Amino acid sequence: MRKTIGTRIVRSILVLLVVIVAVNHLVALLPGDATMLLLGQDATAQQRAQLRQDLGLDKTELQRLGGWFGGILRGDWGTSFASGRPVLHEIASRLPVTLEVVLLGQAVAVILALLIATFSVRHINGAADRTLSGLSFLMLSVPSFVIGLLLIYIFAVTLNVLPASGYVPFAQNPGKNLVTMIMPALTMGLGEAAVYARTLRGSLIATMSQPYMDAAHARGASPWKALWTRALRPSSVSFVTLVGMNIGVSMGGSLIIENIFGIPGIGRLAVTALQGRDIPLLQGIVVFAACAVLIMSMLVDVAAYLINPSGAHE
Amino acid sequence: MSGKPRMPHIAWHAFVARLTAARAVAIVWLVMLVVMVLYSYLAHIDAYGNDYQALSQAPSAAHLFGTDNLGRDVFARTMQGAIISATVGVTAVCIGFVCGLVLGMIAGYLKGTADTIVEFVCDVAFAVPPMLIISTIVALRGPSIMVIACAIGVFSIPMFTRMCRAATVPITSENYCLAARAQGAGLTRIIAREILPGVLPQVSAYAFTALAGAIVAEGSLSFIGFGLRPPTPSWGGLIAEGRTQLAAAPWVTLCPVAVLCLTIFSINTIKELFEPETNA
Repeated sequence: MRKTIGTRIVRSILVLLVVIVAVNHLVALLPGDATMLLLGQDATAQQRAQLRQDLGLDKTELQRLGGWFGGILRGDWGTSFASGRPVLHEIASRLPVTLEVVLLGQAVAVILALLIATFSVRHINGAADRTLSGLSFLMLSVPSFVIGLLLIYIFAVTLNVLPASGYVPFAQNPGKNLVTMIMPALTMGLGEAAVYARTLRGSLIATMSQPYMDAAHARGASPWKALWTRALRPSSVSFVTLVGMNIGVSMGGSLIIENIFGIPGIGRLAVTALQGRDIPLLQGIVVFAACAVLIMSMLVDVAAYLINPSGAHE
Repeated sequence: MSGKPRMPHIAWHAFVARLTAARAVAIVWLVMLVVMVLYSYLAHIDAYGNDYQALSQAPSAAHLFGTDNLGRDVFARTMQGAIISATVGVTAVCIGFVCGLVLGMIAGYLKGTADTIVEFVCDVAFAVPPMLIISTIVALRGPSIMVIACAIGVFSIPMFTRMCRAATVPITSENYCLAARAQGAGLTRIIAREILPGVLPQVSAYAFTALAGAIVAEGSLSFIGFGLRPPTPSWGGLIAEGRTQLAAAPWVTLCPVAVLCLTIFSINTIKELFEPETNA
């Protein structure tokens, strides 16, 4: 295990290095003269020269890479064009908000998935199982922006019980903060719950045919108890992997949910950066997102090992 | 293993035997969608023109999906959006399918260095959240159908590659594959004649999932404002535009939403028809 973790860390660092190098070329994606696009036609030659210097366009490819690379190591991820503040500072100030949305959303998804999957497996092939399976299949066909929109239509427009958007910091008013988080968490949770429940149901069914489940039943464990205490843990490897990877991806990528509900997290920051073509900020967000994904995928590996150290039944 | 799989052919009786109610609904819906698109074209319903006599009207015989706050026909716009979604989706899947198939088969068959390189490139692509990188490319490059389709397509290659590689590895140790190799068949021949027929069913089934994913990705992109510019009616764009009219004219949003969800549902369902039969 230690060796596997070691190679994983080395591999992840290599992947991150490649991402950092690739991100350095983002500015090359801009068609034509970058300064023309970013400053418009009316900018003076001096402003253009300044921007070239800020973007590092006056340097050679290698110098630019060296500067960007050295900066990342020193904790200087560049300066946002729009706000003039350090990129790392911008990302760090949005991180708690995104973390809250992601954790609440995933909590909703995990709880729903556990309930649906265990209930389905307990009544396998019964009417309830087939209804739940059908429903989760239907949910797979509903994109998250549609879920968000329908929730707004139902709870904000029609019933008028929840605010359609807006965000109150937790420190300012915890109650209001949680109220504004209900719909974002549900949007993320409902969509993911369908995937999680289907995965978990499949694994649980496979586990139920293991001899130790028969043994547990023979010893007189009630079906529910056997399900929760014996079957769940060995069945949860792919489920935990899925949840962990989704947390990693949503850290830098919950663009849709944060934008529907006007939540000032990293996804919202990314969209603002894209609108303003704020290249340094964008580069920072992509590198941050890659870090989140890579760290989570390593944690997931460790979790999978802890759940099932022998790697049996994989 | 019961011998070497042949190139898949359509067997109608087997096809009909696997038809369930949901699958029938899915096929009927896709046929209906095509008919509706053709109808909106042949009847010359204008997707861009404004009818100021009919602003924000509820669905009726004159306007099947009603009109929006600018008096545009929501039905015509949704059908126009179907063509855009289909173009983006099919182009993206073709890119992912072809590249992923080739890379996956090469990596799975050659193993060694080629495999390591392909796997590493996939790891890099998986490290960045897809929505983030796709919207970055489209926002910086400027939105056009081709840029959107290519961005979505290129970032679907890693998944296709992994699926195809996983399907290739068991085939490489099959006797018919070893026999071809012993007879001196080259890389191209082994891949095209021995491996391809075996991996095609699984990878094709995944292509449907990827198609649904590409349509949703295009919709999401338009929804957060980086898709095709208005007034071009893509599904995501229509849904985003209608969002501000949700209280006064919900049909402007809900009609494209229903069409989008039904289409994704149909693609997901039909995928199961093409999925290789599992022995479970």
